[in-house]
Amino acid sequence: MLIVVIRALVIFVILNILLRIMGKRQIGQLQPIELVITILLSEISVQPLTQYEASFVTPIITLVILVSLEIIASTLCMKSVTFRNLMQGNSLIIIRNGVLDQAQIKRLRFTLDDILEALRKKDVFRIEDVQYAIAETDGSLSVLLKPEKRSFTKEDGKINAPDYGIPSVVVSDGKIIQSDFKECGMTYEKLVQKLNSLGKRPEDIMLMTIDKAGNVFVIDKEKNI
Amino acid sequence: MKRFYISLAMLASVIAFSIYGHVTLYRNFERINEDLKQCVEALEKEDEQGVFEHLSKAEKTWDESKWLIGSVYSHQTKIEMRHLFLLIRELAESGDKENFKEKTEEMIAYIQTSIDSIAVRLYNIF
Repeated sequence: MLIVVIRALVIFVILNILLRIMGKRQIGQLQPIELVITILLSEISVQPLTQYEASFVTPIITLVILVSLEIIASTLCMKSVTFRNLMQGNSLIIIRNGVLDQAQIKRLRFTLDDILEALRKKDVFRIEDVQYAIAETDGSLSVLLKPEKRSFTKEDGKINAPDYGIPSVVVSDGKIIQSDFKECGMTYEKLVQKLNSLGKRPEDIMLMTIDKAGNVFVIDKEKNI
Repeated sequence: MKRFYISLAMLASVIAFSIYGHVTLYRNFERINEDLKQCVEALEKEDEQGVFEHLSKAEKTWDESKWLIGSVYSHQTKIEMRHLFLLIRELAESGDKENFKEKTEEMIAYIQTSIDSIAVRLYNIF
């Protein structure tokens, strides 16, 4: 069994090293350590289920070790910047004031097509419009446009925007949902009053939402369905 | 931080259990082998009581180790070892000395191979 522990440790370390060497491009949305755990857990979990001859305790021990290591590693990532950089790498600026940082691009092994595609997915079609583009540790690209290219906001125009909050579902499929009442400042009595004023019964309503300002949206249940 | 301490505890307990299991199994296998070797020696000295005494000791140690064996070896190995034990016992009781010696030596070699295969050595890890 000690061999299992050693093997689990060795596999954990080797896969982490390999994934760090592979870099961000192949990893996608998961952090390297999360990917390692995801792959290993699914693989190991299948063994005792599909191979009767195989040991049952061994995969359990391995799973516990890997999950523990993942939690320990993620806690250490939270606590130590050095460890975080070691495990997850750094976010890297690849475009600065409309200029591509070619050294970083080479280092990340991004192609120009990869960058242009990632920018297009962010609705950016001109590199010169970008103030900063950052390759995140999970391989995604974050983009900040130059001030003159950013969308006009109410803050820019100094316009006061009322906060209506989130429309809360108060009736769903004919049933009153009280869990979100607090969110929209509603009470059961107030809802009954509202329904009476609309001339509706809960059982006739498919969906009813109310926001903080008291705006009501109702979809009636279709009959004959 | 609670999850961190839980995972640390999980890791520590699993490693502790693994070390305990590994060491216990290793020692038990060595004890079984030692008893079986003494069994053969007793047979050569024609000490029938000694044969049964050491065989019983080996069987007892085997019984104590059974719950741990599954964590290291496959079901097939467990079945084969159990089969050999039953065969040796039957041969001992029937007085078939020649076959008893042959099968006991086979069992000793089997267990020695098992001991070698769980030893913490690079060739077992890689």
